[in-house]
Amino acid sequence: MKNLLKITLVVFILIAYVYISGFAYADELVIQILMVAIVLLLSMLRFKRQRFINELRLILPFIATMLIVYILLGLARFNPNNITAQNNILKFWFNYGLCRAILFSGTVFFFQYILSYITMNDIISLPLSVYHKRYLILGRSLFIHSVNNIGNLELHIKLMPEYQKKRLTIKQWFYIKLQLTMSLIIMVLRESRIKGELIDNRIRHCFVKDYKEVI
Amino acid sequence: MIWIIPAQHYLVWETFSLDIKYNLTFETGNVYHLNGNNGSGKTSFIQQVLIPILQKDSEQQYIFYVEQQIQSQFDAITSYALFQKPSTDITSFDDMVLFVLEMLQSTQRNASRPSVIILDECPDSDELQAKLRSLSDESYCLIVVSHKESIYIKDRGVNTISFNTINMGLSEIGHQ
Repeated sequence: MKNLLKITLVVFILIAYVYISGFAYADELVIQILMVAIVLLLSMLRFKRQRFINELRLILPFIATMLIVYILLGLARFNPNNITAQNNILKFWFNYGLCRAILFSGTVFFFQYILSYITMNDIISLPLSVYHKRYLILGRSLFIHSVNNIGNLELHIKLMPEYQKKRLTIKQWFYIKLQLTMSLIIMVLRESRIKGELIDNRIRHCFVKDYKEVI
Repeated sequence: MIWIIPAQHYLVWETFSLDIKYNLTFETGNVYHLNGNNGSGKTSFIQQVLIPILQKDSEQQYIFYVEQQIQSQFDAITSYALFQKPSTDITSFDDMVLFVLEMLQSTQRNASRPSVIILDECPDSDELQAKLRSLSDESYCLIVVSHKESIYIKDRGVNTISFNTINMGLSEIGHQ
């Protein structure tokens, strides 16, 4: 029961965060900055320094790309809101892009922060059949595996001979990020197959009654 | 070419340190065998000390590292290979190491540098061994971690670097 309350509370906080940051105050730059500052501080206190830095490094290119795209829209004078002063179009897109970039980074860090309070034991003790719980167990297990292996995947991509130099070109830098994302997908697909089979096998032997019900 | 790992106390993990008593030197043309019990810090030395020091001057050499747990490396290199033109399908350990070695040789043609080849409990592969033997000795320095007699250091003059466990949180490294 205690675990159920804990998970319910976590889900409630998540929904509240998404509503406040993503809907109610989505265009309030000051509130977005304040919220992301609090989330980053909480993450720094909760996670190991190296993990925090790794995640920040992983997310920064996406934020930079988002900002560049929004600034390009401004430079192209794309004007969906019929802003009259020409200078204000760029300002509008910069402000809009900055809010979205901060919102994106804050949401990613907040999800990680709040979900870190849900342990495997919490999931196992949920009043669900083991057949349904196995998806949650697999998801949690894949999430932990991915977070722990991002650094290692990046090391091996950066050790490819063409990337072993002091200054990478923008194209190479972009390709490293693409290859890292692709390698994460490959890893998750493989691990989900292997871990899924292991979990099914464990259920087959430890929860015979539930398993038979499913079959 | 010579690479020097300075003698000092390295805190590699929060609860584990490596104490290097004397400067460790690695030289092209030489083969080094990292020897020690399980948990004595051989892989930690490679990942947390050796590679970061080499990467500080990344244009001095090429690092070719085959990890002990190759699954992440396999995923990373499979992903890299998919982006090549034409894309290469990596399906086995041999495919993976030979692909990276080919990339290395191709990059060497444009920017020649010595290589540091690190094999951490790498599975025996006749193809990899043949490829290594075909390279000029002076073009690379070979560092091998293995508990049994590895085919990669068989019949070669080997410098042994030993890892001695002092306690659960500390190992000492020195030439044997």
